[in-house]
Amino acid sequence: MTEILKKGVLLEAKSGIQASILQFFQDTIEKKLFDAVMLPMKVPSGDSFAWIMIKEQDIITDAQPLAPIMPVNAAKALKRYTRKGKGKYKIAALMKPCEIRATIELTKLNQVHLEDVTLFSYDCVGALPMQDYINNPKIGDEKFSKLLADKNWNSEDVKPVCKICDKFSLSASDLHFALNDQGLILLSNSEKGEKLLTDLNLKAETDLTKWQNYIEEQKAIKLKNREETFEIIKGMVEGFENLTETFANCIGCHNCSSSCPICYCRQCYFDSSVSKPNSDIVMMRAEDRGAVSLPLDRIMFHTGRMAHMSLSCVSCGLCSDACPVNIPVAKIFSYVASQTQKTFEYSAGASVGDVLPMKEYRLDELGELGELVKSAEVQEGNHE
Amino acid sequence: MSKILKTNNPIEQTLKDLLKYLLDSKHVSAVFSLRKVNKKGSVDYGLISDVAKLNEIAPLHPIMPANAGQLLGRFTPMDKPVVAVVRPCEFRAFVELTKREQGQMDNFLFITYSCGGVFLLKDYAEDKIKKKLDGYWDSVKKGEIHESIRNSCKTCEHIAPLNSDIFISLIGEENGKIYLTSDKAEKCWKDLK
Repeated sequence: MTEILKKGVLLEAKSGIQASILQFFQDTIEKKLFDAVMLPMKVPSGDSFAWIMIKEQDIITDAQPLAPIMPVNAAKALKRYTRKGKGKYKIAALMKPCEIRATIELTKLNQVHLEDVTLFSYDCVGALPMQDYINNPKIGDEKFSKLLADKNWNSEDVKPVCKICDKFSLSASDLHFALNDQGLILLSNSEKGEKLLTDLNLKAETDLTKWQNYIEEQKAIKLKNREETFEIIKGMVEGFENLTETFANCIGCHNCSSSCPICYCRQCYFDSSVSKPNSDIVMMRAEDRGAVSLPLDRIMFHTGRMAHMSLSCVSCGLCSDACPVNIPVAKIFSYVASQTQKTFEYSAGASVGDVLPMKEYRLDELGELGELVKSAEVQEGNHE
Repeated sequence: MSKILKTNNPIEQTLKDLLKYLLDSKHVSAVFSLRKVNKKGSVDYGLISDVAKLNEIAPLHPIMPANAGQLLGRFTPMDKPVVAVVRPCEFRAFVELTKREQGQMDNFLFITYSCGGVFLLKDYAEDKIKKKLDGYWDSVKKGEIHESIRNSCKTCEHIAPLNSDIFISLIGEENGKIYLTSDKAEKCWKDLK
């Protein structure tokens, strides 16, 4: 635990957690500490949420800071705002921890600029599956309110990938809203966060030990779920036959890629004309193998995506929400990400300071490959 | 003037036999059709050049994993002859794509059929359609609309296009009839005899 995280600010939450967070942001706008706040707000049809940049204090009360679903990863929304450099305004953005991690990854990829943005996170109970919520928003709202009231981190109602998420609490944000039995504690997690507390004249006096212990207990439960789930996923994706069987229902819609916050490339190989061979090549493949599946190269698409973005995958689960044929894409990518990130001793979204493995060459990395090369060289020498 | 072929075998088997004949006799270089790819019942479109692999096809299966018109558009113009079994709406999509120069009809022999509609992809993904298939085919024979097909299929009024080369009448038929509706199709039939 860093010095900065020994104590937090206890916030009044008599009217509920959501109201307390809204009140906090209203105060920051009133005191002109921010020009705008980026928060989720229910769409007029009532069955989804959109990210809204709010400047007017009165409109803030229409937002729902802790939304039950994640229709768009907030990192993607923030990218739209800052991709071409920092804007004119000082922004506060409240996100789920996985959205914070995606924001950090996009910052490293120069797709988000955080100079004038202050990131807020909160203890996330998970998000409901999109389709469940859209089918019955009223029941979805009731379920989610109960999850928040019970501070239930192990519900069966949330997305499968949320059930196995062990990074549901404090992340690389500047400030964090911790949910505990006393209500709401605001923690600063950076110099930017410290400065804001000072500007608001808020004193960090509430001890965090009890909250931290509780979070650690919940993490241990989630990690166990994660290990069990990964054992199942491993059997589904390791080996080409298992992989093709798992993705057999894929219709090649690329929704998983479109919804992914990390798949940011504006020119994707898989959408380019290069990836769409002409009739000669399709016929040649059919004649070589006896038959060819169409659309072509669906397995290559998924493995290509794994190779391209799994090091930065934050397991937000949007890919599964977007899949029309229920392939457990999020759990699969989460499993693959756990392996690739472990290989490079990297944790996606943990810190802006960590260098992306793709951008760095370390002499000592992948030592086992070095051993193989040495052994091959020795064998070659013996032959000579 | 169309010619009608009658068959005593189940219509899907007759269609498979016809496709095998077309491929075996080198009238076509490949067959484009829906096919089953595993024991779970996953289906996708395939371009098949090996006669033995035609056993896997399920040309009339009521699922649309992709619009065949779009798929065909992606790899035309086709230099070698191909027979394609597609739904009426897929055929219409391909016709529209050809007008936009996104596809070419040359070298295709098109087989379409009166379509009873397709199930929702969601139901297919949740493995809910297997137990509904018998009821679906009963509905097709009786000329009724099955309750579980997609809403867009329930309201479709273009269920039987007659401008393909071969048309299979399924709706309201006990065992279906095959119509040869183009010179190209009639030529294949003459060769078969």
